[in-house]
Amino acid sequence: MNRNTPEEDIAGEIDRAKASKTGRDFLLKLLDKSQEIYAGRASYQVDRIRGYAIASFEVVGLSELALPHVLEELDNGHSPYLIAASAKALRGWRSKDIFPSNFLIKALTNIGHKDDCTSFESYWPNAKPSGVTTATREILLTLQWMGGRAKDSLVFLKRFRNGEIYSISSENRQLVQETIDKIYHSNSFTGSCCQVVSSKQLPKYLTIKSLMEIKLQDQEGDILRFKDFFAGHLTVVVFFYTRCDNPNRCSLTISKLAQIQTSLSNKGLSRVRLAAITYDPSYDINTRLKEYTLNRGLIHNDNCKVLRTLEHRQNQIADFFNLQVNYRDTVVNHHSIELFIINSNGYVIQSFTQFEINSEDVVNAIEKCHLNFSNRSNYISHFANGAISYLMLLFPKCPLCWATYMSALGLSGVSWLNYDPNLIWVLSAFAAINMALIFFRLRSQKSYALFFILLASYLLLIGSIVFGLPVMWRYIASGLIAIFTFWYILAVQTVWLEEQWDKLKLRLLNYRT
Amino acid sequence: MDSYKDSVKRSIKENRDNTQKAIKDFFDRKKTEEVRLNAFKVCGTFNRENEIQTALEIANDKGEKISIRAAAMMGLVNYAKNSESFVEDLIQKLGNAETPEMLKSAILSVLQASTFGSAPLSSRMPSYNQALRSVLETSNSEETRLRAAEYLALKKDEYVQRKLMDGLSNPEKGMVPPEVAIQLLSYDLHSEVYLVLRKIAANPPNLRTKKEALRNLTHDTNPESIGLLLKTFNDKAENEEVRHLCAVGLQSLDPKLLQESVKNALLDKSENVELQVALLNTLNYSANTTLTDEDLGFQRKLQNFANASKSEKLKKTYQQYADTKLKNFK
Repeated sequence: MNRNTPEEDIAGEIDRAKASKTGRDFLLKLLDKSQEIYAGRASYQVDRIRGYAIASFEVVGLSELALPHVLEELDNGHSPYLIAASAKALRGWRSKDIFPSNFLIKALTNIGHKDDCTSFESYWPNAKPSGVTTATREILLTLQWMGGRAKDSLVFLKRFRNGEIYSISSENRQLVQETIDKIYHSNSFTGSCCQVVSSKQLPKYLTIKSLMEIKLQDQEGDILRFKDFFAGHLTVVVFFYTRCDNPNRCSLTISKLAQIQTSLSNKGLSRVRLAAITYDPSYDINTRLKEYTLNRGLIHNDNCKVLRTLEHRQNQIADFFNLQVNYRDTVVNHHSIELFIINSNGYVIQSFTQFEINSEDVVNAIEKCHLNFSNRSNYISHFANGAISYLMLLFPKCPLCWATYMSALGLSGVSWLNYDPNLIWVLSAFAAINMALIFFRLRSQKSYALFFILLASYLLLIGSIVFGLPVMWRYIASGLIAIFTFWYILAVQTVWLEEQWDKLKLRLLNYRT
Repeated sequence: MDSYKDSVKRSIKENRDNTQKAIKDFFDRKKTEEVRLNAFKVCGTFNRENEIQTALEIANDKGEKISIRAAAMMGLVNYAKNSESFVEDLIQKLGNAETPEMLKSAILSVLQASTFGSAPLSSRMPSYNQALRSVLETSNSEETRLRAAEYLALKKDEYVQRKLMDGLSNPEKGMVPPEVAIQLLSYDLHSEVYLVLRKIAANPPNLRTKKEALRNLTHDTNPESIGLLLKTFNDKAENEEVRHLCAVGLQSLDPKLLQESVKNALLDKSENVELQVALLNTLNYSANTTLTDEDLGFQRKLQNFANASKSEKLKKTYQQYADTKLKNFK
């Protein structure tokens, strides 16, 4: 199936997949917005195809892989057809774990007075369809289906029934009351909520070199290359376009980027670069980009730019980021929310896609990235911390240390060296420097337990020398220093290790699907 | 001051009395249709409870003349803002194929007027949209169909977009004239009508449709559309209004591409004078203020051409252009 496949053929295939109840894989493929099948179609056609496919999951069963696509429409979609279809699809969920009901509540808020009559009995829209329903009705039916698992939505539903959210018809009021009654009288849910993660696949790792030479134009009209802005810097990049008619997507994304900018500045991370790239470079000329983003609170400077690609290189950018966007002619016909964090080498290390961006989560992720060993100077200072601790273990602290070294190096080589008790002050100075470095490093994580343990160990070591305690105490203190220094290095490195493990898991999942 | 106040008070009382009389006349079934309809023009809307009840009885009375029923309906606009049952009734009547056309038109006016500020209508938007779609299918009145299509098109309704696109591709299926269909589709950028518009512009049923198609193509950044606009502009056999329309569109799409063609047209003695005047005005608003040698040469030629022209209008327009444009050159 491709862009030229008539809608009736696609609808036929969807009906067959639904009837066979084993057509889940085919339906799953239709959820990907970047599919060839959606290229060259009007937005209403894309919505119709996706909505009809999504609604079918009620019958064939909704899988974990399809769940994020369905929840995405509830979270930030504005088409009543797609929202109704998504609410229906949720009733095909078979797992014991349940998705949170807040997606349905959010959809109810989003739909407002933009709801519409629709039907899923046939593919084609009809002036007098059978099986008429609405997005509001489908959402409420799904909440009823959830029963006790939707108890946290009761407060909202009562307000909704009373017309405190927006005015509702008497029929909907009755349906809301039925929903409240059903949820109220259902048993409370004691299971767990499933973790809802974006279905975004890791972008393909294309040659950075080819991407870095792509020319871009910024909001001031200046021409630059991709690498001029992205290489060597931790960067947050979002995608949007000014002609987007869904206020919950592009417009909100830019507003969120402005919030992120403010938060980063307050945390002293204003050097992190921010970029907003348009999906629609032929229409979104620099003046439009500037005005659109300024109106949403974004401050343009050397570290924050709004960009468009030149020389028709948009496809390369789309491939690199595996963007969920499609076009009819030059106009975007469908897209997702997409935010990426790129490291200084130009690789995507984290993405926030499909769901409304939580600026706090993004800022936390950036702070975590900032601590990562991807920055060489951090790596060196971490290594230095550990190295100093181990060197101090080897520092001669007593005549026995000297005897050991003499044996190792040969008596003739170091026979002239005498043990000097004043070396304890040199030891203390190194200890103080090491503890200061560790303190400043752990302060950014607000975790001081390791610091205090190491401090106590050093004090024990120095004290045992100064006060002439039995040698055993020096061994104990040295051992503690060794163990907790190793623990410290591991703790800081764990963040990086966790990320590598996550990436590996995702790669394995990709191969499986 | 007192006499002014008194005269205002008298005027208000007079108007109130006239309105009451008009309402009484309108409700009087013994009077002729013409008298009642003329009285209605002075009535305004019905706000008192007894007036509302009477107007409702008249609107629902199948024995009453359609024009009187429609007028009574129009007088209930304020009532529609607050009454859930009345709005529900109106929507049902609108979607009913048997409702007389004049009454349907009145209902449409009442409901559209209630779009802003009517909580009952806002909460019933799905059924209202459905009723509008039904009007497209069942109404015999082109005007009513057109109004329903416009209201749906403004909401970017998929059903009406598909119907309009069908009508453009197959004229025999068209429910509204093609130039109107193009206008309605242009309300939604994502309706993706540009492909069809290019075909229509190349082979239009009439001049109005061609103009409308080209006017909407001026928002399309596709190179094919830009090429079509340029080709149309350069075609001397083309209608001058169409050519000017293309020039205006290209001015925002690709000013550099347009500049050369416009300069050639301005210096062409065989070119249509009206078009040249229109183009000079267009150039007047061009953002290009950099004076280059090439432009200097053009300005001299243009000055000579305008001075030698027999058209006073062209000379005058050139003078305005020179006063505005040339003094802004750096």
